[in-house]
Amino acid sequence: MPKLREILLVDDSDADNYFHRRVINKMGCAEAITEKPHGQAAIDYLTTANDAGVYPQPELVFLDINMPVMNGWDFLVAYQNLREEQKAGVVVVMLTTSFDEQDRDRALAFDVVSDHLGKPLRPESLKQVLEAHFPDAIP
Amino acid sequence: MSLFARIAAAIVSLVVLGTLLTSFVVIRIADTELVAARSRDLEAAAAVAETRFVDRVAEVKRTVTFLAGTPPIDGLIRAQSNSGVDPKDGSSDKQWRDRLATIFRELLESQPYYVQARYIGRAEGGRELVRVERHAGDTEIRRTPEKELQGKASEPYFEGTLSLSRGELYVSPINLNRERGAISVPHVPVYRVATPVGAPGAPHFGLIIVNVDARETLSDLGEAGAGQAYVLRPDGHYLLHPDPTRTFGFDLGHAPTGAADLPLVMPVVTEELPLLTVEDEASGRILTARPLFIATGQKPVTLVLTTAYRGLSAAPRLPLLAPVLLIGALSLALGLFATRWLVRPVTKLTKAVDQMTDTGGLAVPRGLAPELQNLAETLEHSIDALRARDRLEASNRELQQFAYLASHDLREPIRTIASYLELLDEDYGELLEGDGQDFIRFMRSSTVRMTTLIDGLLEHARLGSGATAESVDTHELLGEVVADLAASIDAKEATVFLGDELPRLRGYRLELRLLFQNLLSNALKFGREGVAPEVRFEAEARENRTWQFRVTDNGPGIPEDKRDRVFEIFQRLHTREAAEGSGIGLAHCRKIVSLHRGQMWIEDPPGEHGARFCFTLHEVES
Repeated sequence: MPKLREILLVDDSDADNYFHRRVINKMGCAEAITEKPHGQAAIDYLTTANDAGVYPQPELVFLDINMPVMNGWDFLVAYQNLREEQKAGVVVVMLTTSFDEQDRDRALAFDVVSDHLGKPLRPESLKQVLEAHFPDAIP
Repeated sequence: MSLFARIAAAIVSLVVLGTLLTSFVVIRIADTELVAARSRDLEAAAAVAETRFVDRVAEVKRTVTFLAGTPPIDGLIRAQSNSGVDPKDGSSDKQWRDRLATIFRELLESQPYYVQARYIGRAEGGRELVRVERHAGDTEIRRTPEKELQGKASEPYFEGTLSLSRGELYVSPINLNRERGAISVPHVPVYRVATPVGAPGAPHFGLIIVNVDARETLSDLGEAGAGQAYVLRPDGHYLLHPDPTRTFGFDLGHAPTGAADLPLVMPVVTEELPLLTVEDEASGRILTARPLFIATGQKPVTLVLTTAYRGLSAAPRLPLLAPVLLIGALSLALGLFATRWLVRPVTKLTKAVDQMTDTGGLAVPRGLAPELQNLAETLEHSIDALRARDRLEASNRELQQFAYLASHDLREPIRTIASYLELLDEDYGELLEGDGQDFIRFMRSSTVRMTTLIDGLLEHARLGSGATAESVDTHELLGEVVADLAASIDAKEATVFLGDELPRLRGYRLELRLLFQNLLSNALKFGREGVAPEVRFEAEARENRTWQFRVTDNGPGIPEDKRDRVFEIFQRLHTREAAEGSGIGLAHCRKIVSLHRGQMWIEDPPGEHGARFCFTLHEVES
């Protein structure tokens, strides 16, 4: 049962980040959880290599849409242009309203988006994502 | 085409048409008058010509009568019947002849157009007794010697004269003069006037005859009238023609052409009408024909005078047309002025509309005609109505946008509250004493309720936005709805009836589905205690691609005074405990119906219990 090495939360809401971190910790599926408050901070994080020249490359990213500085859509545009070694494993878009079809279609139109979920992240939906992309990480 | 141009064009065409018509009529009248006047002139000229002609012949007749009464006539008769000597005074035959020759000579000298004067006896084959003549082109007057005198019994005038009574006069037809049987050259038309002579009571002894040069008489006729003149014999030969070579064809062996040349006046020649004036459209001439009686016992010759009326008539028309054209020009000027006067208020009104600001009213120009005043008022009302509609649409859009944004943005904090209430409950719920756990439960159920309300509001705001109309079979759609709610239907042991008339129509599929779903789930949800629900969906067609639907249930029904309120958003009839609902279902329904330009209301049910929801749906145009 190999845990995911790192999950990246891109959201400006501390409340949401806290809640999501708790759901992930309770599930016990990741060794580390990193939070970034907006798209630009996330891009900076992804494109910064450590001393060994290795990029963070988190396996799973939960991306909020409504954020200051750089929102989720702009992040996706910038993320598409990253080099392969900078990209993360799976990107999941978090939507504020579950029935906003326009936003859902817009998110899925990005090749780099694997899935979409309504906020907040709940244990059942996290499990679904893991089953779809990282079946081995389910405890 | 501008209004001014239209009215001006109409007026100009009317004026031009009117002027042209008037001109035409005036010209017609003028032409008719002109023809009539010319005809009268021509007839008068013909009458004058006839009178002069008759006068000339009458003068010759008087001369002949005078000659017949001179003494040598009787003297010669007496001498001849008395062996050459007049018993009365002893004058010899020769003496009488000489005396008569002297009279004849004097006569010819005084009358230059007299050609011959003769005394012809009946005896000896109509032998000439005395003959005095003037040769053509010759001024000399000559008495014919006795041995050259001829017998004339075979001449037409011989018998023609002797068949008359004493005192009567014979006039011959006009023909070319002959000398010794041959036509003399140059041609000289002549006629002869004769009268029989003799002793009283005895048979005619002979005749006195005078040959007259007809040239002057004919040329007199030729000069009558302003145009050309013809004299036509009954047989169609010309005695007078503008082209002299065409005259006297009968003497020269030519064929007659009068009937072919002047067909219009032939009735005068052939039917002996007293007078005929005709208008010859082909040649533009007026012709007048009048018979002239010349020869004794023969048909008259016809005098034809012509005058042109075409070509000459343009000048006389102009003074007549001048007032017409003047009136036309005046009408035109007045018409254009009137057009300006008519169009002016419209222009003013247009200007007023142009100058209208976005918010200001229409400054209706003063002194408009009642029709334009009405138009201006209608325009003003229309503008007001349009503005009101614009304002309403803008405010509706704003409201919708507001509802959408508000509900969208409200969801986030509510969700967070709900999430943390959940965490609170999970982590510390068991630590709370007393009513603490109840408080958390109330708070959690309130956040759920608020989320439901906000979702309902959001959904309401989004209804119909971005939807495209398609052909929807409502019977089939209801079938799907029934299938979706099958679990609930089974649980309540409900019966759902779908009418056969449920139509296929163009509409918004998702919205219509929501409409039917809300109505059905309402009916299932709000049933009477202990009664299995029965729901009937029926429809009937109205005109204009509109259908009226009826949804009837057997539930508790809706009191009459609440029937309007149920369609308002977040209005609920039932306490939360009795039935769970957001209070937005029927508001959705009414909005969906109005998206299909329909109406929704509640009627009394046919039976004792229940409610009947009615609504109309109009097909959505593509």
